[in-house]
Amino acid sequence: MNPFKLNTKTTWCPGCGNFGILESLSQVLEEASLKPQDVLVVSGIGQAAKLPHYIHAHGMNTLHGRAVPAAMGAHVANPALKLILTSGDGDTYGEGGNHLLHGIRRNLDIVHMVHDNQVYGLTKGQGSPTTAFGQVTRLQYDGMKSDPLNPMAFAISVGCGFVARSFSGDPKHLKEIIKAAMAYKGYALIDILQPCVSFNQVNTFKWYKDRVFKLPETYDPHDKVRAFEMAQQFGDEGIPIGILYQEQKTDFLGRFSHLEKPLVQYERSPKAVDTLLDELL
Amino acid sequence: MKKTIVIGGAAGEGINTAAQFVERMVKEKGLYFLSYKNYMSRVRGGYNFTTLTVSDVPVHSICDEADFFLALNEEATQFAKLHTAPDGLIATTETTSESGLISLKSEALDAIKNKNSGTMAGVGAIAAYLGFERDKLMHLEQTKWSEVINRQNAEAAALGYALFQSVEHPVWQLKEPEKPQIMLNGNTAVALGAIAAGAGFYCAYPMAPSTGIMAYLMKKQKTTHMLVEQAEDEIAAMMAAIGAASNGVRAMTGTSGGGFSLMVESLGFAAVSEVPLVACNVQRPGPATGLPTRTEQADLLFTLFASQGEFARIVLAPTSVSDAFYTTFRAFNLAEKYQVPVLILTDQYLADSTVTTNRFETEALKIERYTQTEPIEDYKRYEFENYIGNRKYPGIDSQSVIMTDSHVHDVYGHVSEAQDVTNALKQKMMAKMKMILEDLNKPELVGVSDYKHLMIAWGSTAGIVREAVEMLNENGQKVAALCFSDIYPMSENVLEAYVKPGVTVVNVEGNATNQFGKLLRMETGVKYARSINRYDGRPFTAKGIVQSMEVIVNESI
Repeated sequence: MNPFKLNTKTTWCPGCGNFGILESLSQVLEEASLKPQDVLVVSGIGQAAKLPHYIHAHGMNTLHGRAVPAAMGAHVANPALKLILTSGDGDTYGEGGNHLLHGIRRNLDIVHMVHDNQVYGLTKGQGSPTTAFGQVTRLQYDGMKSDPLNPMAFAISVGCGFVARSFSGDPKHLKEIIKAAMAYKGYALIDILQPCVSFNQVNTFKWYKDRVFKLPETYDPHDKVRAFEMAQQFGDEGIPIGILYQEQKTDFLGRFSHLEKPLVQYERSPKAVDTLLDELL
Repeated sequence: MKKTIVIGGAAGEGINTAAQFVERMVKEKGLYFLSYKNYMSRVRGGYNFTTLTVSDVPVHSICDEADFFLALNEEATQFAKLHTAPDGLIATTETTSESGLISLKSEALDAIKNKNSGTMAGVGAIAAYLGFERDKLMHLEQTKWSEVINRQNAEAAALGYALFQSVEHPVWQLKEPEKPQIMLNGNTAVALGAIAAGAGFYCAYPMAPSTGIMAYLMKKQKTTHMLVEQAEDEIAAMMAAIGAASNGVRAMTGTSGGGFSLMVESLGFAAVSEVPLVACNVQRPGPATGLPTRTEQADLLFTLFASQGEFARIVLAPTSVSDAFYTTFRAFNLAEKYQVPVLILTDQYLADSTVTTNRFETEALKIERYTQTEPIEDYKRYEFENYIGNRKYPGIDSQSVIMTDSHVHDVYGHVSEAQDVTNALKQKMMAKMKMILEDLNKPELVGVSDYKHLMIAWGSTAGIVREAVEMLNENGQKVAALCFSDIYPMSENVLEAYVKPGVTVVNVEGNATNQFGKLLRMETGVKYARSINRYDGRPFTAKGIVQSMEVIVNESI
């Protein structure tokens, strides 16, 4: 029995891509020989963000758009916990866009899984930052008037060191990518394409299935310009999945050389101010 | 005995430098002072001044009238004429033959060829005025500047000192305090309180007048083993603090009203997820951008009611720099005991006032975490009762799995819409408020016991009111003041022992709407009869309050 599995009834729709993502994540965590006590799953608000309630691990179900800064605090407090961030496309790229940018700049050591179904689910069918231009939604009856965000190109351009895409309908691939992201020390962004059976009649399971293709083995994810070029490909010309870009750099906590151990492990005393008070004498 | 020195000029003319020299001399002399910067929100130019009140007893209030005014330019000289006591002295760096003005200009000073020589001559003059020995000027050389500049500064100061010895001025007797004095401002006191409390993480976005807290903590993060991070915005700042606090590290954020406005949703998250968060709102006048570098007490009700829904919170408003240290320390224990957000409400006046005060005592301070480190079968993180001391966070033991949730949640921290859970959580919040009351400090009554007028004040204004009461009592006025540092939750009986028949309640607040007065009325049913308000962005002065009170007292005779 996988220790990460819970017998909780979810509120996701039958056929939702979230099930596959939850299953893949649980399997990867188990295969990594981790215990539920070793893992902290942080989310914002949305359908995807309910995931911490459906997995047996430490969890933080925070506010819409705010998972990244909450994760930063949690991570600096106790980096011994393997930190997984799961949230949707609206949560991550819309409400939380600014936090994503700065989370990447800090190079927090976290695995950020974006359940990207190109639509809002919890609020029932409005356009998201990744909904195609002109696509009709339950709210945007006349079609989307904004261009879609390209999350992969965005992440590469702002310096993310691990930029990958996968598909909830290909659990084997998804598991491989999550594994690689967990092995990466730094900000690992995975955009996981996922159908929304209730509110996105355009980007269906079949729509993704017909378009996704795995990056060839000869593809070099360390070539930033090539990666940026590859990240442009989305839609009828095919959608590349795999690790688009990878670069090793010092992670956030590695940049604070004065900390010898996790913050949570320091024994602290009011006496610490005595020498500081002496300076004020 | 009290003397007020004012140094006025344009930004960039060395007001701060001069004030710092004077502060150091006063401190070395072992005297108390309070120095307050009155500056415009700009880097260069404008008219700015620093007021320094020196005394042999602790100082809480500045004085509007200078006993000695150092004017660094023509505009400042004009201000000096309006804001100097009739028997006070004005020294100017301008050439003047106007009677009543003392020009620091001399050929010898000009010969020094340093743009700040006038300012430094002023520092020397102030030293002479305060009756300090000439050798007090020696340490002016111990600065970050080059040897040449140090020598020039010392020469200029010596010229000002010599010039001033020939000017007739009152000599005053000062008792030196018994205890060693530390010198700091309100922001540093808050920062030190956080360090004493064992805070490991501070995250904030720069915003006047709160930035000083972050700046001090950042400077000290290596020796204190803290991590101090400048967030991308105030939402991130508070969320990051919540993330750390829910994972076992004492964490804090700080901001001013505009940033606090952004934190509002996160505040509710901390409350419902029962995370021990500490946040400081250093008030400045609003709304919106308001007056960035000035002071007001107009965020009280906002801080008290910020965020949707009903939840438990604690609001504390230190009345002095020293109180800011002890109150911030206490905030962390309260936050972890009750698992609630604790909001510390200071203001620009307190934050930017530099004082000498008795060294803070750390002997009696005790960090209390209220955690449960033993593994427990079927652990319930969010018990509706008996939760004090039973707090766990991820990683505290090898068995527990901890959930933190922004929804209405069950005892395990999972979303629940059940009616009994919803009711139980609400009742838990209300019960927390009752319990917290027992732990908060009662207001302090100062002044004569047979008072006919009772002033009510909170936060930094309470410190100023304290001085006003002393002055009023010395004049024979039967006035007392009730000073609130712990604000909320508030007991409905809080005024019972103090508001007796025949006592007129006078509410004194740095805002236009008497927010604390309204809170008192809401919680206790007692309405103040009169009020004294200031909302021009400037702090109250004890003298100003005395004048207003004398009018009120005379009316009722």
